[in-house]
Amino acid sequence: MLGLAAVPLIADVIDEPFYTVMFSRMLILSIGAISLNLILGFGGMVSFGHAVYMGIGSYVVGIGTFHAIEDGISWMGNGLIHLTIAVVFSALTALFIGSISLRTRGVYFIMITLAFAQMFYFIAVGNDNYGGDDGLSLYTRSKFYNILDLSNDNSLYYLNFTLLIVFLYFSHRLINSRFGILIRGAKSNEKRMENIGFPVYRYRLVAFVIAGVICGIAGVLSANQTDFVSPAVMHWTRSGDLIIMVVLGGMGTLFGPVIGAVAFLFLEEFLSGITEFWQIIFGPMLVLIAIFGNGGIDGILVRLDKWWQIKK
Amino acid sequence: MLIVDSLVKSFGGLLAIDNLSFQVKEGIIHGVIGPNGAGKTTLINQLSGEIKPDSGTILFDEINITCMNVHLRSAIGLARSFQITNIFLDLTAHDNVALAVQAHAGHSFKFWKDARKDHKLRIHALEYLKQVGLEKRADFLAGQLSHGEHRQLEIAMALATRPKLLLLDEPTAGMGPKESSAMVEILKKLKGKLTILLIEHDMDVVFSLADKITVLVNGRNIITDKPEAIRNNHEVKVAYLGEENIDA
Amino acid sequence: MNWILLLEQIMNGLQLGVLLFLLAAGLTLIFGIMDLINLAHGSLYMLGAYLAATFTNWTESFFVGLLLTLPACMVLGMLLEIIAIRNIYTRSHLDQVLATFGLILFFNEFVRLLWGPIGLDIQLPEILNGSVELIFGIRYPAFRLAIIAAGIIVAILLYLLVSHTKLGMLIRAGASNRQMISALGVNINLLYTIVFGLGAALAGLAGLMAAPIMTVEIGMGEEILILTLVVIVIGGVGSIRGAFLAALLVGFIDTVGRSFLPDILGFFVTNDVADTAAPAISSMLTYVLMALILAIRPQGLFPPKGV
Repeated sequence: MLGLAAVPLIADVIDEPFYTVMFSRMLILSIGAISLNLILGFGGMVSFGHAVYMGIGSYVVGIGTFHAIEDGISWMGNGLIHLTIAVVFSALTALFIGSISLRTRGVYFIMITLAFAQMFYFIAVGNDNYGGDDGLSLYTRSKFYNILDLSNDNSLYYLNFTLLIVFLYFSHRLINSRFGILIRGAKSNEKRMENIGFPVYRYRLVAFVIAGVICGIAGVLSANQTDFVSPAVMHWTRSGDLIIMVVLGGMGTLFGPVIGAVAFLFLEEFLSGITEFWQIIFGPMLVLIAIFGNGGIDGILVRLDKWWQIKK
Repeated sequence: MLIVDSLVKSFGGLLAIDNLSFQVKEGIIHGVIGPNGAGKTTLINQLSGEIKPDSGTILFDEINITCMNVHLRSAIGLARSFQITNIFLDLTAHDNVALAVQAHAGHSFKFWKDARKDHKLRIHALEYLKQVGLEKRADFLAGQLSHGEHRQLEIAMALATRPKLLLLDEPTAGMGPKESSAMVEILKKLKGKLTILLIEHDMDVVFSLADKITVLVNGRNIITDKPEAIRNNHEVKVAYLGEENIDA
Repeated sequence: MNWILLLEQIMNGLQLGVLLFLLAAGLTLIFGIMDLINLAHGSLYMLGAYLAATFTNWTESFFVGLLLTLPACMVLGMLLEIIAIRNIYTRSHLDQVLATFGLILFFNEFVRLLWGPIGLDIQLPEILNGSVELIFGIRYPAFRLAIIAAGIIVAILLYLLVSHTKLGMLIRAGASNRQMISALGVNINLLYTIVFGLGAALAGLAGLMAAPIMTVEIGMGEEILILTLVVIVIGGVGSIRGAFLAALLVGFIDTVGRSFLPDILGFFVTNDVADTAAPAISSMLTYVLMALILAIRPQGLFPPKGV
C-alpha cells in the first residue's frame, strides 16, 4: 500500500509518467472490483453487469464536461456535482436492475444482469447526441473549485488512491457490521436466514445498490483518467473483466479485489509484450483458473503459507 | 394457539397431507407421531412456510398464516428446527446464535459497528447457549461441534428468535441414547415457557415429553389425545405401533 | 401503414427468430442436462460462419460447404467438451462463467490469428441469390426464405428427436431429473459429449445461415449470444418448447420494433424526437420485454417440470 503511495514520485524521478497513468488505472479498477466483491464475494450474487455503473459514472462526467465546454454552463463541469449525479443515477439504476433480478436465483440471475447491462449499453450506443457508438472525448476534466486540479495526473492519482483507501476501510467496516454479517449469512444459507426472520431480499437489494454506487464513483474517476467515454466502457466483456479481477484476487477477502486488479493489468501488460494475440494465452489461463484455482491468488498465498509452515 | 384446518397437499399424484385438521393448545408440548411417509415433514414445512398447501388454512394466534412469507412467520413468533442440521458451519456457535438474535433486534441496516463486538447481541446469544448447555462451546466453529451439539445449537438459534411456538422436526434424529436423553432434559426445561410442536420418530421421547399427541397416518389425523389414551388405542397399535414392532 | 413492408418485416422477424431458436435450443439443452452455463456458445456460431465461408470458397459450392461445416462444428464441439468443458460441470456457475468467458477470448483471438482481423464474404449459389414471389406480387429474398424453411425443418427434426428416440428420451429425462439418467446405467460422459456436439452443430448451422446476410466478423457471436440468453431466460431455462416460442417472440419484437417504432413514436412526439429516440428504444425493447416477463414470472414462461 505504501509502495502504491510513492508511485507518482518514483515515476517523476525516473521520468516515466506512463507508470503513474498505469497505476492510476489499477487503483480505479481496484475500486470497481472492491464494489463487485461486496456483492459477488461476500454476498454470492454473481452480477454479470457491473460495468454498467462504471459506464454511468463515466457518462455523467462526459456529458457534464461536454455541456460545460460547448454551452459554457460552468456548474456542469463541477466535480462534486459529477459525483453527486453519478451516485444518484447509479443508485437508481442498481435499484431498478436489482429489484427485478434479485427475484431470481443462480443462472437466471447471471443472465438477467448480463442482459440488463446490454440494454444500457445499447442506450449509450443509440445516444447520438453524445457520440453514440464513437463515444465522447473530454476536453476538460472534472473541476473541484481551486482545491484540486485533476488535469495534473499526479493529483488524479492521489484522489484515486485516497478513495481506494476510503472504500477499503468502508468495506472492512461493512462486512463486519450487522448488515455485512447478514449478507454473508445469506450467501451460505439463504433459506435459514429467512427462517430465523431476516427479510433477505431487501437487504440484498441494498447491498446491490451500495455496490453500484461505489462502482459509479469509480466510473467518474475512470472518465477523468482516460479523457474519453464510449459505450465500450459498459460492454459486457468489461463486466467479465471485473469478475475475473475479483476471482483472480480471491473472492470474499478484503484485499483480494486489489490484488486481482493489479494482477489483471500486469498480466495484460506482460502477455501483450509476448504476443500481439495475448488473449490466446489469457483465455486458456482463465479456463485453468476455473478448473484448478480455488480462492484466487489470495488462496494460493494462504496455501503456500500453510505448506511452508508444515515444512518447517 | 395453532389451528390447522382441512389442510391438503399433494406432490404430483401423491397425496401427502389429506384433509388434516388439529389444534395445538397454548403452553403445552404437542407431539406428532406417525410411520415413515405419514407426512410429518410435509406438515412442518407447511407450518413454517417452506412449502404452500394446496388448500386448507393455518391459523396462528388467530392470524391466518397459510400463505405468509417465511420471515414474517418468524416475526410473529414461529420458529423451527430442521431435521437435517442447518446451521452456519463456518461461524462459531456464538456467532450462529447472535445472528438469530440480530434477526429480532430491530432492522439490520447498520453498516458501521462491528456486529461481533455488539454486546446486546453477544450477551443475549450467550443466554440461549446456556439454555441448551453449550456455553462452554461458544467460541468453537460450528463445524467442529458434534452432531448432538449441532442439534442443540439449532434449538438455541430457534429460541433466540423468541418464539411463542417452536416447531421441532425430530430433534433426536441420529443421536445416541446419551445425547438423546440430554436433549429430552433440555426440552423438559422449556416446558411451560413456550408452546412446542414436536415431530418425533422416537416413541420414548414423545411419550416422556408430550402432553398431547396427534397420530398421523397417510397424511390423516387418526387420533389426537393424551399419551395414555394413545398408548392404549387399538387403531394406533394396528396402524403404527404394530408396524413399528415389525420393523424393530 | 405500409402493408408490404409489414409483411416483409414479419418475415424478417421470423427469420431472426429461427436463427435464435437454433442457438437457444442447443444452449438450453446444455444447461438443462449438464447444468452448464456456456457463454462460448456464441463462439461456435462464429466458427460455423467462418468455416462455412472458408469451405464455400475452397469448394466453390455453398452446398458442399454446408455439408462440411456441420460435421466440422459437431466434431469441434465434442473436442471442446472432452478437453475443457467436461471438467467444469460440477463447478459453481461462477467458475463456469469464468472458464467459458476465457474460451470466448481464446476463440476470438484464434480466429483473428487464422483468418485475420478483416471479415469474410460468402458467395451464394444462383438458386438462392434471387427473390421469390410470396403473394400479391410481394417478393422476398430466396435465401432468407431458405433460412426460415431450414429452421422450421430443424425444429421439427429436433422435436422428433427429443420426443421419439432413445437419445431424446435420455435428454428429456436429463433435463427434468439429472439423477435419473445416472440411475438408468447410461454412459453419462458419452451422452454429454453427444449433446454438446449436437448443440455445437446447431450453433454452427445458425452461423452458416447468418453468414451470407450478416457480416462474418470477430465478435459476431457475442451480440447474438446475449440475445440468445434473453430467449432462454424468457422461455424458461431447459425448455425447448419455451426456447422456440421465446425465439420467435424476440425475433418479431426486435425486427418489427426496429422498423416501425419511429412511425409509432411519430404519433406521440415530433418526428425529430422520434427519429433520434427510436433506435435506442427499439434496441431496448427486447430487454424491456424480458424485464416485464421476469417481474411477473421469475422462472420464465415455460419452465421445465421438476427443475
